[in-house]
Amino acid sequence: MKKLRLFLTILICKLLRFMAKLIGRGSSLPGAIALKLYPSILSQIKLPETVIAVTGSNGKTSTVEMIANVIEKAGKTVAYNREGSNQIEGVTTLIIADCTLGGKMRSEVLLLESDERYARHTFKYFHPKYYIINNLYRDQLTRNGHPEWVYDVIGQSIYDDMTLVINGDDPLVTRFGYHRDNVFYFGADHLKEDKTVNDSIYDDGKYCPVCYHPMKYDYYHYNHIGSYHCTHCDYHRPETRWTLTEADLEKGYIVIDNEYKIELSFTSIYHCYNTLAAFAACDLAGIDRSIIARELSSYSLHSGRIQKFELGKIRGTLLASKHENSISYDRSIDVAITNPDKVNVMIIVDAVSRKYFTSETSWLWDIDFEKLSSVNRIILAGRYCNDLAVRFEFTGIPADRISLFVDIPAACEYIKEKTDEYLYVITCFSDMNKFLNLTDRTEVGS
Amino acid sequence: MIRILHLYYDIMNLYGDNGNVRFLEKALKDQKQEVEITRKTLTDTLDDLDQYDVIYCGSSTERRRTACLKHLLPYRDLLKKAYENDRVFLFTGNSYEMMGKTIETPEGVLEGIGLFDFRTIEQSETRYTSDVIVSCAEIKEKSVGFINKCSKVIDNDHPLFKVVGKVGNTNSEQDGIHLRNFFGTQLIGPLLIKNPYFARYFIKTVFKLKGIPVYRDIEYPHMLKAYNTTMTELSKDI
Repeated sequence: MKKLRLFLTILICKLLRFMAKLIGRGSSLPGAIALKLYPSILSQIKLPETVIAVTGSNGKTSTVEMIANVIEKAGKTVAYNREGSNQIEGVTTLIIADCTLGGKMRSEVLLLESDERYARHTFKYFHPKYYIINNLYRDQLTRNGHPEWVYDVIGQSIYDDMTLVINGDDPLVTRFGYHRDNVFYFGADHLKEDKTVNDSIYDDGKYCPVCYHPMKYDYYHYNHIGSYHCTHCDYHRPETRWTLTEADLEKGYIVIDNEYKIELSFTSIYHCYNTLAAFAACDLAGIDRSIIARELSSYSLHSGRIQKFELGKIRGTLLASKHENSISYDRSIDVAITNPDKVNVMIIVDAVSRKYFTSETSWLWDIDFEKLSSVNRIILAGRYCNDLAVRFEFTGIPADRISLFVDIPAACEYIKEKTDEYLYVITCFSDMNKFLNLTDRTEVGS
Repeated sequence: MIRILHLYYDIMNLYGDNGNVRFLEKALKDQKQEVEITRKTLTDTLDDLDQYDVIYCGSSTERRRTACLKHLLPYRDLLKKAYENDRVFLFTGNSYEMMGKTIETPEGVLEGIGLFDFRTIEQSETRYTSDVIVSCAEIKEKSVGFINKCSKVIDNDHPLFKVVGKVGNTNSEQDGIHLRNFFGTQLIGPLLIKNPYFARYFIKTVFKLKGIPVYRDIEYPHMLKAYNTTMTELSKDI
């Protein structure tokens, strides 16, 4: 009976997926129906030996993209989900699509991007062998609550038989491995761009997440990411198994474990953690380290995080950031202000989220906009430009260097006619096309 | 001279709450007042709280809030004295929960400061997140904000706000506490910046305490426009 039920559910799911594809529908519906027909179906599927899951606030999609590419290039088959299907329904669709009708997955590796809030539902039915947790940032707090809330929710998806692969430089996620046996860490050594103070608006690493006594940092890579130890208990940055030993932003390369050079044009150490996590995952998947380094080197992400554009005579770069995620904004601001030329910066907040409605803009007060005082002109655009304008009143940047446009096309006209400088546009994936559609030419950066 | 104490400035600061103190400093200076801001946190000892005219505290995670409550408990009498002397308190997000009788958490019952009779019941299953429009008995204009919590406050007869509209998920029909000059609210973030009318009322309360006779009607056009935008956007969905 059990076998027949499994067979029928897989068959129906496959048919639904085929039809959904024909009419261009999303990827979660077939899985949702399969779960209705057979709620515990995921525990009945024979999965490949190597199952890797990736979660965290930022960089899940990029990390998964990179791992999948390396595994494929190394000649192994991999089934993986793309952004937007990282909850249990999407994962179910993915797994069944890869299955034989007898319920056995064909691919040699199953690779999952897991939504940090929903992994606990998926992993009730099966446990990934390797569980990568990249970071915990203030991200979409209007639905996520806060990083400690997300910490607890991720905690409910962790089981003893999983091997955790954790960013040891983030004290908020390292806690998952505190006094645990099967855990590996990745992280960065002391690098030349490091700072000895955290000068951002807030510091989520100031207090120990275990005992709430003050922590001390030997250095910060950015925000609360760095080398820390508690002044009261034994909590500290752990030894790393995979280590970023060198990073050169100008020449565009990083070195892992003093040996594996990976060429990538990156804007800050912030983006290297995804590459490092991917390196760790592929290493665990049994791929030769030099092959991993080679494939990560030549790979450029499809996410369109950085796009070069031309707007009339103006040339510029769009730095896709995330609204409601101050760290992603802070890092984009760093890119704009490290350009030695005179530059203008445009910030667009038109829809706070593309997935749900909110009018909440408190997160603007967590972003270090004060740093933009060195740029030439600032253009604030979109429905929430007045919220931005209020925030900028507190930066000390003179009002005559700031222009305000509710209307994004009007802002673009202004830029074309009244400015000459190179332009950085900092906005969210949800709002970026409202700008890019008005440009004359775009080219995906790295 | 108006003296402001920013309590737990570096740990009760989860949702851009620092904006409230930044605004107060600017607005009071615009009113031609001298302002002095003192910042205290977990590693400091608190002295006479009565010396401050305004005491502000923002929101945090539940566990960090609990760490602050432990630190604050020995200063209960200092807090009571300042409250009874009509010092102006603004406690946003989950910070005002510390002032009730108890906080019942899944791990156990925490003793509160006991300034008020209300009790807080906290759970770890459901997060209540919601944009809200609220009204306040003292001013005719409504206020906007965001609730982000996992608790319910009960036995509270003196709410600051009535929730008149919401987009999202909240279990509150009323919000916060207002007794004497204590303003407590679950609304997170820079409440005073988002709500120019409430901010004016708040500053007038400080002026009353200080015996400052003249309130200058200063316009903050971007604040007003931002407020109107949020009000319009929320009203579409309510």
